[in-house]
Amino acid sequence: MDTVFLATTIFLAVLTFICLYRAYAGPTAADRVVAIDVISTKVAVLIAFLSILTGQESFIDVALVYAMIGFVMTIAVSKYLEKGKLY
Amino acid sequence: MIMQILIVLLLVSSGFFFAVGTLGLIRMPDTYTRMHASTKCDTLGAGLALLAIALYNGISIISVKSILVIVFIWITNPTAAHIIAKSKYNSEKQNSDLKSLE
Amino acid sequence: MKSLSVSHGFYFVLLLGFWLILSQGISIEILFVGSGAAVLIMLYSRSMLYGTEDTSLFQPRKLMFFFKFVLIMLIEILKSNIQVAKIVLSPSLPISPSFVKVKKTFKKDLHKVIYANSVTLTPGTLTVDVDEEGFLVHALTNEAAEGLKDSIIEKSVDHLEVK
Repeated sequence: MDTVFLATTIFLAVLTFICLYRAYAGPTAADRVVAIDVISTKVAVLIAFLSILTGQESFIDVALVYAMIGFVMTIAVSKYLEKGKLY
Repeated sequence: MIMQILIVLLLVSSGFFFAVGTLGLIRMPDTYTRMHASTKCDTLGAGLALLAIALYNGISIISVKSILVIVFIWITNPTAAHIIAKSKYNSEKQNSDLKSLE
Repeated sequence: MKSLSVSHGFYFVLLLGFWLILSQGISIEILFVGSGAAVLIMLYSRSMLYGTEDTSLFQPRKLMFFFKFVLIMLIEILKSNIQVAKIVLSPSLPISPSFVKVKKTFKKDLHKVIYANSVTLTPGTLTVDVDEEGFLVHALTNEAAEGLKDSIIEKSVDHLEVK
Protein backbone atom coordinates (compact mmCIF):
# COMPACT_ATOMS: atom_id res chain seq x y z
CA MET A 1 0.00 0.00 0.00
CA ASP A 2 2.88 2.34 0.80
CA THR A 3 4.30 1.88 -2.70
CA VAL A 4 1.05 3.12 -4.25
CA PHE A 5 1.15 6.22 -2.06
CA LEU A 6 4.82 6.75 -2.93
CA ALA A 7 4.12 6.41 -6.66
CA THR A 8 1.25 8.90 -6.49
CA THR A 9 3.43 11.34 -4.53
CA ILE A 10 6.23 11.18 -7.10
CA PHE A 11 3.72 11.55 -9.95
CA LEU A 12 2.22 14.64 -8.27
CA ALA A 13 5.65 16.17 -7.74
CA VAL A 14 6.47 15.74 -11.43
CA LEU A 15 3.13 17.32 -12.39
CA THR A 16 3.87 20.28 -10.11
CA PHE A 17 7.12 20.91 -11.97
CA ILE A 18 5.27 20.72 -15.30
CA CYS A 19 2.86 23.41 -14.01
CA LEU A 20 5.89 25.59 -13.33
CA TYR A 21 6.35 25.84 -17.11
CA ARG A 22 3.14 27.87 -17.40
CA ALA A 23 4.29 30.17 -14.59
CA TYR A 24 7.53 30.72 -16.49
CA ALA A 25 6.15 31.07 -20.04
CA GLY A 26 2.63 32.48 -19.50
CA PRO A 27 2.14 35.51 -21.73
CA THR A 28 0.12 37.57 -19.19
CA ALA A 29 0.30 37.98 -15.43
CA ALA A 30 -3.10 36.26 -14.99
CA ASP A 31 -1.68 33.05 -16.51
CA ARG A 32 1.07 33.07 -13.93
CA VAL A 33 -1.43 33.56 -11.11
CA VAL A 34 -3.47 30.59 -12.39
CA ALA A 35 -0.32 28.45 -12.47
CA ILE A 36 0.67 29.45 -8.92
CA ASP A 37 -2.87 28.73 -7.68
CA VAL A 38 -2.77 25.23 -9.20
CA ILE A 39 0.70 24.62 -7.72
CA SER A 40 -0.42 25.66 -4.24
CA THR A 41 -3.38 23.22 -4.36
CA LYS A 42 -1.07 20.43 -5.51
CA VAL A 43 1.50 21.17 -2.80
CA ALA A 44 -1.21 21.06 -0.12
CA VAL A 45 -2.19 17.57 -1.30
CA LEU A 46 1.51 16.61 -1.48
CA ILE A 47 2.05 17.60 2.17
CA ALA A 48 -0.97 15.48 3.15
CA PHE A 49 0.63 12.52 1.32
CA LEU A 50 3.93 13.18 3.12
CA SER A 51 2.16 12.84 6.48
CA ILE A 52 1.19 9.28 5.44
CA LEU A 53 4.65 8.42 4.11
CA THR A 54 6.65 9.72 7.08
CA GLY A 55 4.08 8.87 9.76
CA GLN A 56 4.11 12.42 11.14
CA GLU A 57 0.52 13.22 12.10
CA SER A 58 1.14 16.96 12.46
CA PHE A 59 1.90 17.37 8.74
CA ILE A 60 -1.83 17.32 7.98
CA ASP A 61 -2.16 20.58 9.97
CA VAL A 62 0.54 22.03 7.76
CA ALA A 63 -1.51 21.00 4.69
CA LEU A 64 -4.59 22.78 6.08
CA VAL A 65 -2.67 25.98 6.81
CA TYR A 66 -0.93 25.80 3.40
CA ALA A 67 -4.28 25.58 1.59
CA MET A 68 -5.49 28.65 3.51
CA ILE A 69 -2.34 30.67 2.79
CA GLY A 70 -2.50 29.74 -0.92
CA PHE A 71 -6.09 31.02 -1.12
CA VAL A 72 -5.21 34.33 0.57
CA MET A 73 -2.17 34.71 -1.69
CA THR A 74 -4.26 34.21 -4.84
CA ILE A 75 -6.82 36.80 -3.74
CA ALA A 76 -4.14 39.32 -2.79
CA VAL A 77 -2.25 39.03 -6.09
CA SER A 78 -5.49 39.19 -8.15
CA LYS A 79 -6.65 42.32 -6.30
CA TYR A 80 -3.27 43.90 -6.85
CA LEU A 81 -3.47 43.11 -10.59
CA GLU A 82 -6.96 44.58 -10.84
CA LYS A 83 -6.65 47.79 -8.80
CA GLY A 84 -2.92 48.40 -8.43
CA LYS A 85 -3.28 48.37 -4.64
CA LEU A 86 -4.39 45.88 -2.02
CA TYR A 87 -7.25 47.68 -0.22
CA MET B 1 -9.23 -6.11 0.93
CA ILE B 2 -12.13 -4.27 -0.73
CA MET B 3 -11.01 -1.14 1.12
CA GLN B 4 -7.50 -1.44 -0.34
CA ILE B 5 -8.83 -1.83 -3.88
CA LEU B 6 -11.03 1.22 -3.30
CA ILE B 7 -8.07 3.27 -2.04
CA VAL B 8 -5.90 2.30 -5.03
CA LEU B 9 -8.78 3.15 -7.38
CA LEU B 10 -9.21 6.57 -5.73
CA LEU B 11 -5.48 7.31 -5.95
CA VAL B 12 -5.26 6.31 -9.61
CA SER B 13 -8.29 8.39 -10.62
CA SER B 14 -7.02 11.40 -8.65
CA GLY B 15 -3.70 11.08 -10.47
CA PHE B 16 -5.56 10.91 -13.78
CA PHE B 17 -7.58 14.07 -13.08
CA PHE B 18 -4.48 15.95 -11.85
CA ALA B 19 -2.70 14.95 -15.08
CA VAL B 20 -5.65 16.13 -17.20
CA GLY B 21 -5.70 19.46 -15.34
CA THR B 22 -1.99 19.98 -15.89
CA LEU B 23 -2.24 19.01 -19.56
CA GLY B 24 -5.12 21.48 -19.98
CA LEU B 25 -3.06 24.20 -18.29
CA ILE B 26 -0.27 23.61 -20.82
CA ARG B 27 -2.34 23.00 -23.97
CA MET B 28 -5.26 25.46 -23.86
CA PRO B 29 -4.96 28.63 -25.96
CA ASP B 30 -5.96 31.49 -23.59
CA THR B 31 -6.33 32.30 -19.89
CA TYR B 32 -10.05 31.59 -19.45
CA THR B 33 -9.94 28.17 -21.09
CA ARG B 34 -6.84 27.30 -19.06
CA MET B 35 -8.83 28.19 -15.96
CA HIS B 36 -11.64 25.83 -17.04
CA ALA B 37 -9.29 22.88 -17.16
CA SER B 38 -7.22 23.62 -14.07
CA THR B 39 -10.03 24.58 -11.66
CA LYS B 40 -12.38 21.66 -12.25
CA CYS B 41 -9.82 18.89 -12.53
CA ASP B 42 -7.71 20.10 -9.60
CA THR B 43 -10.75 20.39 -7.34
CA LEU B 44 -11.90 16.83 -8.04
CA GLY B 45 -8.34 15.44 -7.96
CA ALA B 46 -7.59 16.97 -4.57
CA GLY B 47 -10.92 15.72 -3.22
CA LEU B 48 -10.27 12.13 -4.37
CA ALA B 49 -6.68 12.08 -3.07
CA LEU B 50 -7.64 13.39 0.38
CA LEU B 51 -10.60 10.97 0.51
CA ALA B 52 -8.11 8.15 -0.09
CA ILE B 53 -6.00 9.41 2.85
CA ALA B 54 -9.11 9.57 5.06
CA LEU B 55 -10.10 5.99 4.13
CA TYR B 56 -6.53 4.74 4.69
CA ASN B 57 -6.45 6.09 8.26
CA GLY B 58 -9.90 4.81 9.24
CA ILE B 59 -11.71 6.61 12.03
CA SER B 60 -9.12 8.96 13.54
CA ILE B 61 -8.29 12.64 13.92
CA ILE B 62 -6.29 12.60 10.65
CA SER B 63 -9.42 11.57 8.72
CA VAL B 64 -11.41 14.42 10.25
CA LYS B 65 -8.66 16.88 9.37
CA SER B 66 -8.34 15.66 5.79
CA ILE B 67 -12.13 15.90 5.33
CA LEU B 68 -11.76 19.48 6.62
CA VAL B 69 -9.10 20.15 3.98
CA ILE B 70 -11.46 18.75 1.29
CA VAL B 71 -14.32 21.04 2.36
CA PHE B 72 -11.96 24.03 2.45
CA ILE B 73 -10.48 23.35 -1.01
CA TRP B 74 -13.93 22.77 -2.54
CA ILE B 75 -15.20 26.11 -1.25
CA THR B 76 -12.12 28.20 -1.99
CA ASN B 77 -10.99 26.86 -5.40
CA PRO B 78 -13.99 28.18 -7.44
CA THR B 79 -13.77 31.47 -5.53
CA ALA B 80 -10.09 31.86 -6.40
CA ALA B 81 -10.80 31.08 -10.07
CA HIS B 82 -13.63 33.62 -10.12
CA ILE B 83 -11.46 36.36 -8.64
CA ILE B 84 -8.60 35.72 -11.11
CA ALA B 85 -11.05 35.78 -14.06
CA LYS B 86 -12.63 38.99 -12.75
CA SER B 87 -9.30 40.77 -12.37
CA LYS B 88 -8.24 39.70 -15.87
CA TYR B 89 -11.59 40.78 -17.40
CA ASN B 90 -11.64 44.18 -15.66
CA SER B 91 -8.02 45.05 -16.46
CA GLU B 92 -8.57 44.13 -20.12
CA LYS B 93 -11.70 46.29 -20.21
CA GLN B 94 -9.77 49.26 -18.79
CA ASN B 95 -7.04 48.80 -21.40
CA SER B 96 -9.54 48.70 -24.29
CA ASP B 97 -11.27 51.82 -22.89
CA LEU B 98 -7.94 53.63 -22.88
CA LYS B 99 -7.27 52.56 -26.47
CA SER B 100 -10.67 53.78 -27.69
CA LEU B 101 -10.03 57.17 -26.06
CA GLU B 102 -6.77 57.69 -27.91
CA MET C 1 -24.72 44.66 20.27
CA LYS C 2 -27.67 42.63 19.12
CA SER C 3 -29.24 40.04 21.35
CA LEU C 4 -28.08 36.46 21.19
CA SER C 5 -29.73 34.31 18.53
CA VAL C 6 -29.47 30.83 17.10
CA SER C 7 -26.90 31.87 14.51
CA HIS C 8 -24.62 33.29 17.22
CA GLY C 9 -24.63 29.91 18.92
CA PHE C 10 -24.04 28.16 15.60
CA TYR C 11 -20.95 30.27 14.84
CA PHE C 12 -19.66 29.74 18.39
CA VAL C 13 -20.01 25.94 18.14
CA LEU C 14 -18.40 26.00 14.67
CA LEU C 15 -15.35 28.00 15.80
CA LEU C 16 -14.93 26.00 19.03
CA GLY C 17 -15.21 22.72 17.11
CA PHE C 18 -12.51 23.87 14.66
CA TRP C 19 -10.28 24.80 17.62
CA LEU C 20 -10.82 21.40 19.27
CA ILE C 21 -10.03 19.52 16.03
CA LEU C 22 -6.73 21.39 15.70
CA SER C 23 -5.67 21.06 19.37
CA GLN C 24 -4.22 17.95 20.95
CA GLY C 25 -6.75 16.41 23.35
CA ILE C 26 -9.24 18.17 25.60
CA SER C 27 -8.50 19.88 28.90
CA ILE C 28 -9.92 22.76 30.92
CA GLU C 29 -7.32 25.26 29.70
CA ILE C 30 -7.83 24.34 26.04
CA LEU C 31 -11.60 24.73 26.34
CA PHE C 32 -11.17 28.05 28.19
CA VAL C 33 -8.73 29.57 25.67
CA GLY C 34 -10.81 28.24 22.75
CA SER C 35 -14.04 29.83 23.99
CA GLY C 36 -12.23 33.12 24.57
CA ALA C 37 -10.76 33.04 21.05
CA ALA C 38 -14.16 32.16 19.52
CA VAL C 39 -15.88 35.07 21.26
CA LEU C 40 -13.09 37.46 20.25
CA ILE C 41 -13.28 36.36 16.60
CA MET C 42 -17.05 36.78 16.61
CA LEU C 43 -16.72 40.29 18.07
CA TYR C 44 -14.01 41.28 15.60
CA SER C 45 -15.72 40.02 12.42
CA ARG C 46 -19.29 40.85 13.51
CA SER C 47 -20.11 42.89 10.41
CA MET C 48 -19.06 40.01 8.15
CA LEU C 49 -20.83 37.20 9.97
CA TYR C 50 -24.31 38.59 10.65
CA GLY C 51 -24.91 41.73 8.67
CA THR C 52 -28.32 43.03 7.63
CA GLU C 53 -29.50 39.72 6.18
CA ASP C 54 -30.77 36.93 8.36
CA THR C 55 -28.92 33.66 7.97
CA SER C 56 -31.67 31.27 7.00
CA LEU C 57 -29.46 28.24 6.40
CA PHE C 58 -29.60 27.26 10.05
CA GLN C 59 -33.13 25.89 10.11
CA PRO C 60 -33.32 22.07 9.97
CA ARG C 61 -35.59 21.99 6.91
CA LYS C 62 -33.19 24.27 4.98
CA LEU C 63 -30.32 22.00 5.90
CA MET C 64 -32.19 19.05 4.34
CA PHE C 65 -32.56 20.99 1.06
CA PHE C 66 -28.91 21.99 1.30
CA PHE C 67 -27.72 18.38 1.58
CA LYS C 68 -29.87 17.42 -1.42
CA PHE C 69 -28.25 20.31 -3.31
CA VAL C 70 -24.76 19.08 -2.35
CA LEU C 71 -25.60 15.61 -3.72
CA ILE C 72 -26.77 17.11 -7.06
CA MET C 73 -23.56 19.15 -7.15
CA LEU C 74 -21.34 16.09 -6.65
CA ILE C 75 -22.90 14.36 -9.68
CA GLU C 76 -22.55 17.55 -11.76
CA ILE C 77 -18.87 17.90 -10.77
CA LEU C 78 -18.14 14.32 -11.87
CA LYS C 79 -19.88 14.95 -15.22
CA SER C 80 -18.00 18.20 -15.79
CA ASN C 81 -14.64 16.60 -15.07
CA ILE C 82 -15.24 13.77 -17.52
CA GLN C 83 -16.28 16.33 -20.17
CA VAL C 84 -13.17 18.47 -19.61
CA ALA C 85 -10.99 15.34 -19.73
CA LYS C 86 -12.54 14.39 -23.08
CA ILE C 87 -11.91 17.88 -24.49
CA VAL C 88 -8.31 18.11 -23.24
CA LEU C 89 -7.34 14.62 -24.36
CA SER C 90 -8.79 14.92 -27.88
CA PRO C 91 -6.06 15.95 -30.37
CA SER C 92 -8.00 18.76 -32.10
CA LEU C 93 -9.20 20.72 -28.97
CA PRO C 94 -12.93 21.13 -29.89
CA ILE C 95 -13.61 24.43 -28.08
CA SER C 96 -15.48 27.60 -29.03
CA PRO C 97 -15.12 30.00 -26.09
CA SER C 98 -17.58 32.86 -25.62
CA PHE C 99 -18.99 35.21 -22.96
CA VAL C 100 -22.64 34.81 -21.94
CA LYS C 101 -24.73 37.21 -19.84
CA VAL C 102 -27.16 35.38 -17.54
CA LYS C 103 -30.05 37.65 -16.52
CA LYS C 104 -30.80 36.05 -13.20
CA THR C 105 -30.45 37.53 -9.76
CA PHE C 106 -31.09 36.43 -6.20
CA LYS C 107 -32.11 38.51 -3.20
CA LYS C 108 -29.49 37.36 -0.75
CA ASP C 109 -25.73 37.51 -1.19
CA LEU C 110 -25.38 33.98 0.16
CA HIS C 111 -27.45 32.54 -2.70
CA LYS C 112 -25.49 34.59 -5.23
CA VAL C 113 -22.28 33.06 -3.88
CA ILE C 114 -23.70 29.54 -3.96
CA TYR C 115 -24.97 29.99 -7.53
CA ALA C 116 -21.71 31.50 -8.82
CA ASN C 117 -19.53 28.81 -7.27
CA SER C 118 -21.84 26.06 -8.55
CA VAL C 119 -21.74 27.46 -12.08
CA THR C 120 -17.96 27.44 -11.93
CA LEU C 121 -17.93 23.76 -10.99
CA THR C 122 -20.53 22.60 -13.55
CA PRO C 123 -19.66 21.51 -17.12
CA GLY C 124 -17.97 24.04 -19.36
CA THR C 125 -18.84 27.27 -17.54
CA LEU C 126 -16.90 29.76 -15.40
CA THR C 127 -18.34 32.76 -13.56
CA VAL C 128 -16.40 35.94 -14.35
CA ASP C 129 -18.33 38.84 -12.82
CA VAL C 130 -21.44 39.59 -10.74
CA ASP C 131 -23.45 42.82 -10.81
CA GLU C 132 -27.03 43.99 -10.18
CA GLU C 133 -28.40 42.67 -13.48
CA GLY C 134 -26.95 39.18 -13.46
CA PHE C 135 -23.89 37.04 -13.90
CA LEU C 136 -21.24 37.21 -16.61
CA VAL C 137 -20.29 33.64 -17.51
CA HIS C 138 -17.51 32.34 -19.76
CA ALA C 139 -18.56 29.21 -21.67
CA LEU C 140 -16.12 26.68 -23.09
CA THR C 141 -18.40 25.24 -25.80
CA ASN C 142 -21.64 26.26 -27.51
CA GLU C 143 -23.62 23.46 -25.85
CA ALA C 144 -22.50 24.68 -22.43
CA ALA C 145 -23.65 28.22 -23.24
CA GLU C 146 -27.09 26.96 -24.33
CA GLY C 147 -27.42 24.58 -21.40
CA LEU C 148 -27.01 27.48 -18.96
CA LYS C 149 -30.68 28.53 -19.25
CA ASP C 150 -33.09 26.73 -16.89
CA SER C 151 -30.31 24.48 -15.68
CA ILE C 152 -30.76 22.09 -12.76
CA ILE C 153 -28.47 24.27 -10.61
CA GLU C 154 -30.66 27.33 -11.15
CA LYS C 155 -33.77 25.42 -10.14
CA SER C 156 -32.07 24.02 -7.04
CA VAL C 157 -30.86 27.43 -5.86
CA ASP C 158 -34.37 28.83 -6.49
CA HIS C 159 -35.72 25.99 -4.38
CA LEU C 160 -33.20 26.81 -1.65
CA GLU C 161 -34.29 30.44 -1.68
CA VAL C 162 -38.08 30.09 -1.76
CA LYS C 163 -38.75 27.28 0.68
